[in-house]
This record gives sequence, C-alpha cells and structure tokens, in this order.
Amino acid sequence: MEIVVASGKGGTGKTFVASNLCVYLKRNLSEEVVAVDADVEAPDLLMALGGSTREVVREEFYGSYIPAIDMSICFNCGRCAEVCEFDAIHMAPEGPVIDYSKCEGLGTCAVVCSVKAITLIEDKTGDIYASETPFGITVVTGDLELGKGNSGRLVYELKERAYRIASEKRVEFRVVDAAPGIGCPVVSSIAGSDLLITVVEPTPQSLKGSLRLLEVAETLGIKTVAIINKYNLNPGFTAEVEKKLGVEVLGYVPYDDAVVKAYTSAVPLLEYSPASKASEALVKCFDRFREGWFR
Amino acid sequence: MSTGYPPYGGGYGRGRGRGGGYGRGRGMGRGMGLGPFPQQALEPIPPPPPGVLRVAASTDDGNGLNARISFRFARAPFLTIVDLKDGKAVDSRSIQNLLAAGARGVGVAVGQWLVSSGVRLVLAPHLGPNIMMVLSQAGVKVEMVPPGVTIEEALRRLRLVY
Amino acid sequence: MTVLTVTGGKGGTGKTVVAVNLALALSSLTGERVLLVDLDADNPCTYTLLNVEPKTVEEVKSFKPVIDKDACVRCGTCVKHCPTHALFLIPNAGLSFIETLCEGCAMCMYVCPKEAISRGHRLTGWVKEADAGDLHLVLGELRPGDRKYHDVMEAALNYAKRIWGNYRIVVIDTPPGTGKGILMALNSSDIIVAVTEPTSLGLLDLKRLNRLVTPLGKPEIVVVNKYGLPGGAHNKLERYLQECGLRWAKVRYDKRLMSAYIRGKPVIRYDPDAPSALDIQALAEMLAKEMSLNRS
Repeated sequence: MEIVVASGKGGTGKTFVASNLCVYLKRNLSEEVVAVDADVEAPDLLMALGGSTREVVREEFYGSYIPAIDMSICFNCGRCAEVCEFDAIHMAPEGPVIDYSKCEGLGTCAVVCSVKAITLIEDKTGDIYASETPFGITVVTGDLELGKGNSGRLVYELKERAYRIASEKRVEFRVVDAAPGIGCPVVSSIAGSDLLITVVEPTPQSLKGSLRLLEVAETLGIKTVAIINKYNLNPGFTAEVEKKLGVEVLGYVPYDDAVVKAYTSAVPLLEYSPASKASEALVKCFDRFREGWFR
Repeated sequence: MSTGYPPYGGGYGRGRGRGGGYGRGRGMGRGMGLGPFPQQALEPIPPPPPGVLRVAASTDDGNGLNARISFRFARAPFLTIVDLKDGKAVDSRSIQNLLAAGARGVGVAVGQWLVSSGVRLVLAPHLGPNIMMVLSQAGVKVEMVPPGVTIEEALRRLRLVY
Repeated sequence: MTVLTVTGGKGGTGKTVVAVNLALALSSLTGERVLLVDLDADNPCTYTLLNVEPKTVEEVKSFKPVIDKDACVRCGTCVKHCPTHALFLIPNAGLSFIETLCEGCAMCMYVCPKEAISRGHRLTGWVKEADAGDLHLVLGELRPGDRKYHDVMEAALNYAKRIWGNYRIVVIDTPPGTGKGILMALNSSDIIVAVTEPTSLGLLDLKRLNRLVTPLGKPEIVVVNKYGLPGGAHNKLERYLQECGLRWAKVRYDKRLMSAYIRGKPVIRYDPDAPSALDIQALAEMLAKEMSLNRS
C-alpha cells in the first residue's frame, strides 16, 4: 500500500507526518515500511528519520536529453531554431546556439534537421539513493541536480525504485513525502498512490493550497483524508477548514515545541517524546487511519 | 507507407557534441526509435490468425505460460502473450517490455502496442487511466486478476483454458 | 534599479511574508512604489496578504495539436514520434490525443506527411496584475493539474521585465525549491535574500540552496525567520553562517506575526511595533543602504 503525504503549501508538516507515520506503522502495527522522499529539490526525510547508517543503493538518474549539434554537418539553415517551441535555439553567425536552461529535451529540432546534424544525449538530472536508518526504516531519496528541471520524471523513477526495493524485501507499506505545492513533482508523487493524506494548517493560505491539491487528487481519482496540524495557532479557523476541505479529517495535532526539539536531535517525535501532546494527537490520527483501512 | 523521414533502426552511437557545462552525457547507444530520437520503441507482433483469441498480461518474469502476473501493468519487465483456440493455449511467448523505461505515457505506449498486436483480452490487477482509455476505445476487454498468480492459473480460473 | 530575489529552498520558512513586508518597508523608506513579482505559480499567496484581487493580463499557452480527421490517413507517424505517447491510433477508430500527456513540442505537426496536424493552444496558466497601493503586483498562476509551471513562472517574470524599468526596486518572491525555475529567477536578480528557519531541516536546506546560490557570485543576505523558535538549532546555524562569512539578519519568532498572517495582513502595517515588524524594518534599512538608496 502506498500512502502519500502532501499539502499544497510548504511548511505545514508533511515531513513531520510522513516520518512519524513510518514509525507508527513499524511500532504499532509491526509492519516494515519503505519511506520515499519525493521532495527532490529539498530532501530532508532521511534526516528526519535519524540519518543514514548505511547506504544500500546509489544510482545516477538520467532524466532528460540535451541536443548536440555536429557543426561539421550543420549548414545553418535555421530550421531547428524555427521549430523549437521553447525558444531554446537561436541562430548566431557561427551556427545554432542552444539555451540549455530553456531546452526541454524533446527532440523536435533533431527530427526536422534535414541533414541529421542533431543527436540527443542523455543528461544526468539527479541521484536516487536508499539508506538504512537507526529506527529500522529504509529511506529512498531522490535528489535533483541543482538548477535542473524535470523533477516529475525523477519522482516517478524514484517511486518505481522504491516499489522494487519494497517488493524485494517483501515490504507491504510505502510512505511518500511529497514536495510542496501542486506542480509536476507533486502530481507525480500522488499518481498511483492508494491514499493521500493532506496536511493543513489553520490559515487561509494553507487551506487554499490544500484545496488546489484536492482538485488535482480528484482528477487522478486518489482517495484523500486530512490532518489539521498546529491547530492551536488559530483554533477559531479549524471548523472552517474542515468544512471547506470536504474530506474526512483524521484528527487535529497541536503545535508543540517538542516537534522542533525532536528534529534538532534527528529523532522522530514518536520516539523522541511519545508522551508529548503532539505525539498523542498524532497517534490518534494514525489510529483513525488504521480503523478506516483495516476494518 | 513512406514517411520521407529517417527510417527505423539503430540509433546513432556518437555521443559527440557540446556538453554545455552539464557534464558528461552518455551517447545514445540505445536509440531504437525512429531516426535520431532515442525513444524506446517496441515493434508490435503480427496479429493472430482468425479463430484465435490473443490474451496479454504483464509479468514479472519471462516464463511464458508460467510467468507471474505483475502488480504494475505498464512498467512491468515483461509482456506475456497467450494465443487461445478451443480452450487451449496454442502459442505463448514473453517479450521484454522495452517500453517500460519510457519517460511518460508508458501506459499509452503499452496500450498502443497491445492494440496493434491484435490483443483482444488483457488480464491485470489494476490499470491506470490512460491505458484504460486506449483499451476501451479499441474494444479490448479487461479481466481483473490477482498479482502473483501464473498466467496459466489465471486463465484456468477464468475458464478460458480447460 | 535593483532586483531583490527572496528565495529559500525549504517550504514554509516564510519567504512570502518576508517578501511582502520587505517590499512595503522599502516602499515607505524610499517613498516610491515597489514592484513585487510573485513567481510561486503553484499557489501565489502574496495577494492574500495585500487584500487585492489580481486581474489576468496574459494567458500562458502552449502548443496543442489540432487533428484534421479528413486529412489524416492513419499512418501512425505522429504516434511513433511523440516523445510522451500523447497520441494513439485505434484501427477503424482513428487517431486520439491525450492532452494531459502533451508537452507541447509540436513534433507531430512537423512529421505528419499529410499536414493533417495544425497548431492549437492549451491554457497552462495566467499572468495576473494588481495595484496594491504602495506596491504593484505581478504574479503567475498555474492551472491546477497542469505540469508546466516553469512556463508560467517564465511568462510572469518576462512580463515583469517588460515593466520593471519604471521601478527603482523590484522584489521577486520565489516558490520553494532549487530547480530550474529558481535558477532562472536568481539569474535575473542583483541581490539574493535567502530565508531560512532555525531548525535542523532548515539548515540542511539552506546549505543545499547555497550550493546553487554561492557560485553565482551575487551579494547574499540570509534572513533567519522565526529566530528564537524554542528547541531550534540556533548554534549550529550561526556557526554555519559565520564559517561561510554570510551576512544575515534575524526576524524574531513572534506570535503577533502569526496573528497578522492569519488575518491576511502584512505585519509591518498592521502591527508595526511587533518584534518581527521592527526586524523587517531593520532589514529594509540594511538593504536600502546596500542599494545606496536615499531616504525620502
């Protein structure tokens, strides 16, 4: 079963919920878990789960193509520059010049070139690595090369890799920590999942983000539930949030200094301070999830 | 059906060109697509003769009739085809699913391949929305089967072989 | 004219709050309007803090094929070429197109031997604009479900570039991340304001961000938002900043900032004596000096 934790807006507590859900599944349900860090532009799930004790997989990911022009064949007809929809090729006196920051690597230029002067070369866009952690959870991380695009493709590959690792180890559960927002990497994070948990703060901005996320989840047909995090920062708004979201709310978690302290110690909250208010509330949310799914 | 564009065939091995500060690229040895574009492609197999029902499933191994049905459809490592006539499997083969490594639209690519190869029935635990659309538009039937069983077992349970 | 880009790597550190309040503070200091550019196309929030309703000024479109069914001979050439398999061919039913897979490369149009495919458009998002008193706001907004948010970011940035000659100060608010879109915004800026929080995850992401920012060789100021957060990793963070020789400013962890935020108001106007407001004011003064701007 694949559970994805996303939110539409950053900083609401996705990594917090995702990392502690892993601990809950292992501790309370005695289930092994593979955790997947799909926040490929700012991966921090591994640290949240205690850091790497042993790296078990490391792969380079070639997620894009870039065109290479053989200048000995090119005769400057300019056709490649004409057809590029992304404005990535400009004609200079010495020949076509490619703006790699705009190039999407789709290859229209290569196909229209009448002398076959353009070939497409795979470009490394990131790394995928899997690590074991102190609390027994394998974390598979996707790490996008700085300044690169195509993060959605890396997330897709990352989930596939995590699925294969989980199958090999006969692990039933995968928990995916998505990127913030609703863009391409988030869509790839939630596609194909069995359940989406959206983490919402009781602020209009966070609600707005989650509603946009829910629209996307709906078009993909993914079942969604919500956790309202840091609810005591604006308790008056929580009823509004629950009403507007229109999905089942697993529960409310209060803001708690213990969460920050746990991160500073690189220990998941449920292990660091199981009796804290946030821990108790979070466990109640997860119990509710368990009741709903394993009746 | 001449297209006037570079024909099918092996991609260009030359990895020449400007790195542009993006470091080493790998040359495209695996250009099996059309012309210079290194698209993963898989030629459809010729459709079966009349009177034969072609069934397909994606499998985790390439053991033909004994191949195990995969949980994932479009990105499974093998596509296994079984031709049925009068309740018996008259032919079966497993083909490496070269489409699985594609960037996007793998479901559509596999769906297209199945349709072009004359498959009339697909066995799967679960299918994504894109491949479902392709199959349903082509009138290809889908039967839900659990992952992990062999394709022969699945066909037996469905009373398609006896 | 100086372009300040407020960025951050990690989500939720407070980029938008800092960007909006900073822009307002700079506007008050100089007596001039400031251009604020919101590139968080997934979820633009600047306008919620400014209480304005932006209007669309540009639709961001990408290529979509329009198939002439009569001219199409079902050769399947476009199907074989499409890099994302957005086209498929059903015998006896014809050619079909899946819009959600289309990346807008137009290859199908160019390879069709019968010229049966022509140029159509798909709406990816919008560039919007609003007049917010002391600020002029330009933002990009992605259509939910669409994947091309870089295109929307780029369109919004290009629109802003066309008008930013009229302003002495431009503040760009970026989304979280360290990818292509962020790099595009950073390349357009003169001063980089990196917003972080004093937590271990915040520090991890700041270090990562700086691997992208530092090589650009532009002046950088780190803003430590929520400074004083109980249980935070302040010592580690300050040690890092010192080791890297980075200039930094703090914005104190402040319940009054949170109050203003949830009311959808910028703290610098709503509660100017709040510790966080005073800190942002000080940051604005530091930046104004950096930009050699005269006070009015």
